[in-house]
Amino acid sequence: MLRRFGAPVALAGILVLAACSSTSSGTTSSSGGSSSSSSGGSSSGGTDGGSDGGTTLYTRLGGNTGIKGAVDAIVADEVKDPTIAAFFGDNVKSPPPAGTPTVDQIKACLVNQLGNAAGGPEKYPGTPADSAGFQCRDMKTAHTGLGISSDIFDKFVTIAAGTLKRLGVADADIATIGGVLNGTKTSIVE
Amino acid sequence: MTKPRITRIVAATAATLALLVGAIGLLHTPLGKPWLMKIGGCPIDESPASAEKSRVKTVRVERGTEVAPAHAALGFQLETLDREGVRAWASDNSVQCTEKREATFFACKHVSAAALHRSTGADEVDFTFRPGDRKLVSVTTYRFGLSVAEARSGFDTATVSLARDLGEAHTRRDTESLAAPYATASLAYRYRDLLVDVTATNLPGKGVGLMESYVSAVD
Ligand code: HEM
Repeated sequence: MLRRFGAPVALAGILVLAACSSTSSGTTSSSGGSSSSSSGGSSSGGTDGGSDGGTTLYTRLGGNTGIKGAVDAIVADEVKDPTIAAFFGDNVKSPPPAGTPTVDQIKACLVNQLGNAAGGPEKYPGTPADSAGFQCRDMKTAHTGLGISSDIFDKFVTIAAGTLKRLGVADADIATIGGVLNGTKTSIVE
Repeated sequence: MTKPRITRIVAATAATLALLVGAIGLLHTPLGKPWLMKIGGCPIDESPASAEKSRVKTVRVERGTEVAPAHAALGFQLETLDREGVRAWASDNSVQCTEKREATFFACKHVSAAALHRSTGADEVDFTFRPGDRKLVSVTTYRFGLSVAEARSGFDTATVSLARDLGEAHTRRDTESLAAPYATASLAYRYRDLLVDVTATNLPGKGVGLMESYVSAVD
């Protein structure tokens, strides 16, 4: 019996290993995640956009164009981190695997999410005009199965805060955005 | 071995192969990812070539025009040091590093202050190497759970050390106090061949996080 299935089983083993091992080597393997977290839902809305002296956070960030610039800079800074960049390995492929958004589509979603949270007219989740038809998902659906740990999440927020500060965003506004990002943590971290 | 037996083995192998390819494919789709992670997971990781492509793409967008006067990242020479150099440093300083992505990425945990020539150590120091010539292309450090005073001291030490090596920061945006939630201090250099970022930010309930990132901007 064993001999009969020996060849197929050995092949199966090699295939599974090959599919998963092309990217990792060394003394210990990189961590996988565990099962999903409890809270679901989207991060839409949630703030009044941090109104201050008659201006809203949305206008202080420069509206949709300003937020696009900030999202571009945040994503560029995030992927300079080798651990974070690895999570986007599928998204940078061209084309990405079926059902996986491209980095531009993720950015379009992020712009709508931040715009919405900052009090702008953007809707989240939804299908941004420049997402080539990609429908942004709620935070839990978008991140389930990625195995994002609390430490990775904290790195992500630290980098994003640094980018916003470098771009000249005021501490109070970073605090508002930080609160929005942190509000997604239970949906993202596994 | 008889001919029908060989045919049966070939058929069984082909069927197993087809099933596995299908199953592995399915596990890597968004629907299958949660199951993949449950069974231990394909590490979410990228190939060394793809990581390098991603670095090059990013640095082309972010880099400046001047050449950096120095390329030391916490004492590690970018574009000069190789894996052996970092392994020797780890061994000399009793640092535990995990090598990943065909040894183009080293993740080192709990690094002492002495090993970094700094007043405080780091929870994590990551090194990446170019897949082609295996030279060091980035060094990133993180410290989490710092008190406001520790973070201030860490940020100021980095500021002074970078000013000595590179001169005035290209962007420096400080904050009066790191005590408030998400209060952030940031320092950045954007050279043609080097990108440096230092960020301290107060993560509510988690103390202050301090990150130093040194990335070679050479293609
Ligand atoms: C800090 C709060 C975060 C926010 C607000 C956020 C927001 C988003 C948004 C808007 C999308 C696109 C939505 C969609 O795919 O339908 C997305 C996708 C994604 N995010 Fe996040 N994210 C956060 C944290 C993280 C972290 C920490 C990581 C990992 C380092 C991460 C990795 C990803 C990946 C890999 C995708 C693409 C998922 C796929 O390919 O299906 N995100 N995120």
